[in-house]
Amino acid sequence: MVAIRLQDIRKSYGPVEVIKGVSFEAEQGEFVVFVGPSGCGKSTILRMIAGLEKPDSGEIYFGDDRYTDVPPGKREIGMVFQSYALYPHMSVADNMTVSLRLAGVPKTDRRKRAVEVARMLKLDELLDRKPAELSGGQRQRVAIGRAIVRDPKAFLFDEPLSNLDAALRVETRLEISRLHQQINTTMIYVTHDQTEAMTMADRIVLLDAGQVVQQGTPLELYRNPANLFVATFLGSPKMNVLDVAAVSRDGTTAQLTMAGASHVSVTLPSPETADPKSIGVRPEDTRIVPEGEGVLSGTIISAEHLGSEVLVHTETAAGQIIAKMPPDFSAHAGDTVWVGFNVARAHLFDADGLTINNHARQ
Amino acid sequence: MSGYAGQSIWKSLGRAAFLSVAVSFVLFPILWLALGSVKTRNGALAVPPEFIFQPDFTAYTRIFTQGFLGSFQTSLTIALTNVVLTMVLGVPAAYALTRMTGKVQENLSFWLLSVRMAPLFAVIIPLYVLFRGIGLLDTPIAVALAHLTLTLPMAIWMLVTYFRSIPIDLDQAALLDGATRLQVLWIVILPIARPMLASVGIIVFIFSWNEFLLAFILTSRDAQTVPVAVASMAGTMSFDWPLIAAVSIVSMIPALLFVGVAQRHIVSGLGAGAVK
Repeated sequence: MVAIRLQDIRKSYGPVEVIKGVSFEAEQGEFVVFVGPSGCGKSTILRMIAGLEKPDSGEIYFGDDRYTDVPPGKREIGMVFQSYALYPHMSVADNMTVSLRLAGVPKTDRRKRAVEVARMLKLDELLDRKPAELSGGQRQRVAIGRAIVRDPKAFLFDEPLSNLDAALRVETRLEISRLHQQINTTMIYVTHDQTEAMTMADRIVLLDAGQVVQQGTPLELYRNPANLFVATFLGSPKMNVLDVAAVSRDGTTAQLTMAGASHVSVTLPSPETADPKSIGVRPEDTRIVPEGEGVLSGTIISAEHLGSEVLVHTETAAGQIIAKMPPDFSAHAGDTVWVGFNVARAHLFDADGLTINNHARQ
Repeated sequence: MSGYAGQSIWKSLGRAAFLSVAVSFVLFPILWLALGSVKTRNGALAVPPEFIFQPDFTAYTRIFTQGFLGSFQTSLTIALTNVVLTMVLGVPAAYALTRMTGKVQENLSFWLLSVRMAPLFAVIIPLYVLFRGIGLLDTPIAVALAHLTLTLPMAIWMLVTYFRSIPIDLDQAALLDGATRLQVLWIVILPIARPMLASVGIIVFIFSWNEFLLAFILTSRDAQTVPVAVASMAGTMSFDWPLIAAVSIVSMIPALLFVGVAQRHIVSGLGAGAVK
């Protein structure tokens, strides 16, 4: 069942069109993550779902009902703001139950519900504290609690982790995922952090410049990016992208050349496919190899030892390349090395940056 | 070590001396007034001034017997009416100005500020003619309304600055919680803005309580405020210094009480923890 449906939503601020016709559906209980660079319009879309902004055109449906003009308070939506937006003069319990108070729920029932939700979020000791007396992580949980209390049709998260430190961010990320499994309500989550998108989403909606570029499961987007933008946005470290030129073509096999490199042989989906203009290889499909086995030679700029792996940054004639190597790999800045690719898993892009080849699930 | 300690002693001595001078500069007139209020008429004007004398409190009893209570009542009515009207009109206006955007809001803000730029004399005569026309001359409401023309723009500007510092996320969170705009103002904004509301209340009250010129022009007999009543005592035939001093001393009390009560709401750090 479709929980939330957006139909050709458009929005301009003055002469600037920030949302250029976005359509999308979230299934009941689905965890959808809107991800994209800052300024791509993802927060604006979220705020339009919440009713805090009005679309210039297009429709918003909750289930089968049109909600485009319904005021925010009547949408039964729980929203967690990036800034938490807790009421500073109210206790944690009061903060969480304002919606119930406005709905006329008696005080004892409000307290009961606050205790219930607080237990779920491990806030039961803090119910009578003021927001100023809480840590960042605790405030975040209160903000989530406030959203849960009213038993909303959907949760909206607007970059909820960006004010937390790295360790807390991972912890809260897991907690939100756990919460989603527990209450199984539709969640729409906005972030610019591709790691959050990859780890939490049932489905990612990748936005750029007010448009949906691609949507699908995290692995679909990671393995089969529709274009260069998606390919380089998802994945950390970023995909290596090198300019190439086809030197010869024999049906679906093409010989590609790149600056300072020997030829690379790739397979194209059909004989009619346009010549690839760039090739993308993820760091995990890139290796530092013995001389003669590689495609390119380069100089190591730095080696980041992460414990579980080593990220080797190499400067080559074709550009900078990152290779993910096993933890015991020994590399020193200044060393001359050879770089090899797992060509079978390379992504090929045409002159417009659109993907030429698709990869089956591996 | 001793040099350091010595320096610190001189420093604190210097500071103490400076503060004593500053404090006596402020307090001396009040002390003089208090002393004058418990002297006889001749004693109050004696040269050189007497510092040892038999205190005489009859001036204070004369406040009651010579009809000054009415002036106190009028002043209080005007000041409190003005505070209430300023708040009732100023708070929603300031809130609307900060939360709604557009050309109208910009122009309205400037127009409000420009009211403060006009010299007082530019409004007195029109106000006089207006109030005479509608028969409000020499009534407390006329003075309160005249004060409102000055205190309302000032209050709006002070509140606008404060409301602007309250993150708009709080409004939106409350709207999502199901609040109407008025409920947002009542449940979220006003409790947070309590320190500023108290400050505005104090400033408006003290302005109204002390204001002379408008009260002087717009009243003649029935609605005389304390400052006007005191001024009218300085007649050509007699100069009742102890009574003037006693009224002045007593006139400080309501303002002090009001400030004392309102000040308790001025606590800093209330806004902490709303948004990170």
